Amino acid sequence: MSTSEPTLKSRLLRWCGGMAGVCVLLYLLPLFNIVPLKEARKQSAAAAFNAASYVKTFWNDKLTKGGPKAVDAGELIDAFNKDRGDAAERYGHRLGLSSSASFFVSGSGSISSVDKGTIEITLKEGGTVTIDTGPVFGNAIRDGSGLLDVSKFPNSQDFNALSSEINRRVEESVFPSIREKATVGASVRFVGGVEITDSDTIPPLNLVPVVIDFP
Amino acid sequence: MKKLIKWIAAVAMTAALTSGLTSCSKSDTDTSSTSGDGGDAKVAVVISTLNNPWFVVLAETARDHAQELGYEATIFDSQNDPATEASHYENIISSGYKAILFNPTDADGSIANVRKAKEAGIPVFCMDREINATDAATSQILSDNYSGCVALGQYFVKQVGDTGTYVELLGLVGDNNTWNRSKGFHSVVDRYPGLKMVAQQSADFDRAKALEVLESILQANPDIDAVFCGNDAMAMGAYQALVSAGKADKVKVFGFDGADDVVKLIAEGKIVATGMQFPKVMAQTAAESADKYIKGEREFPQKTPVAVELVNRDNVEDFGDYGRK
Repeated sequence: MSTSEPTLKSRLLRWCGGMAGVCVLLYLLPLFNIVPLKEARKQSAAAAFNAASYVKTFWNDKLTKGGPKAVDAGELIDAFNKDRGDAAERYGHRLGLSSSASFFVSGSGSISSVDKGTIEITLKEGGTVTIDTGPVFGNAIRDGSGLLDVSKFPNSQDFNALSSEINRRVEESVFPSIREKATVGASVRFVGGVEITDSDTIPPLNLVPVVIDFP
Repeated sequence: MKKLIKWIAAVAMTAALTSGLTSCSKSDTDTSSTSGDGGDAKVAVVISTLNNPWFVVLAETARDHAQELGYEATIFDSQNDPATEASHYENIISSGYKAILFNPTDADGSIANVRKAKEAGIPVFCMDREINATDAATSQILSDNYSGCVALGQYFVKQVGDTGTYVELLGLVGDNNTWNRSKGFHSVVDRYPGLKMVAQQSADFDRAKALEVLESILQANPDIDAVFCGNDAMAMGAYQALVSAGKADKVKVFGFDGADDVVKLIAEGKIVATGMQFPKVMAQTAAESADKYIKGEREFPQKTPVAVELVNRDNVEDFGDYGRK
């Protein structure tokens, strides 16, 4: 009897010590966390991809400052007239198994016509470029720049949201000056994206402008 | 005596560990050194559902192409159920398959399955539908749904005009394709304030459900001008609902997929347009990639978008059999 008492005590102590250890462990490494619904929504909104902010940085730091290497519009038309497959490979970017290629182009010329929603530019070296000043659709700038890789975006909805945001930016920040200053005969310099499907005939190149100057 | 028992135990453990390591290294060697002509190597084709002819084409093309490349290929139908899909993965992993050609049920929910396969050394090649991770699948071959629906949206505005009312039938809400299609379409159509969407409802990419959903929507909105459907099975269901309601010649139906029955109805002027995806191209590319992986290649683009082409009455003769003629 006298020998079993200390054993019980020591067992009790060990058990208490063990429980305390488990409690400390659970405190340090909890099995689950309870997060208020409001907080969870905030966290998920913060983790969501923000296309507007991504495009703002991309536009200011990549597209307009230095930017991707642009091919001269006249040179691209000549290359297409010689061998469109070779032109697409040399100057363009294809997204996966695509039936179109996109290009980043620059050039200068004079405005040869201004119609409702479209201006036409005659290049110095010949050939024409058109700009539709209505709603912008498609991926001419996103894909033409060659700077954005679909494989880097886990959810392709985010990659697609970039095109919508870029197009919105073109409408808001580039088109107003075209509408204001475009008159027949005016000199113009431009940089932008062009998307050409395999069945398109060119010229004209249909440009989605990133920069347009009226020197 | 105690020392002897400890010594025997140590020897037994060492022997067990050595044999385990040997068998592990054997199995690794087997995976990487399988002959390129397939031999008796097995390839699994796991498909979200076979209750839709488009996915049957995707599955059968993947299986047939894998067989042509010399592999034993089996199709597993997930029946649009992530639990069934998970159970297929368990079976595939324990049955010694060398690659999985995969059409997921859920962009988020299927990631865990792909990771399990990856941990087991089995490469996964996604077809048509993506998973929301870039470090799990070996490669993902996907329709460029967004761009396809931008083109479809532009054609929709041309056909319906810039004023009118329409209904949108969405696919499975957990699938990225559903939203890429919807967002591509709305990126165009929403620019025309005169075009009003009176209802947007999911019909799960299912023909029967689309019929039921549109019948119900038509009761509250009998005078719609158009229906945009996130796939062709739903377009067929919507068209059936309009025929039953006597409105088939007034309401313009637009689909997406390039299914043969819809292409035929476009030629007959009963459905306005669809976006031709190329299931055979995607399935063949996935099978070829799996073959290259088994032969030792390890460099694959994580995502390969495949172009979607607009099919309308003007060019419908160029299309058929789930692709260009």
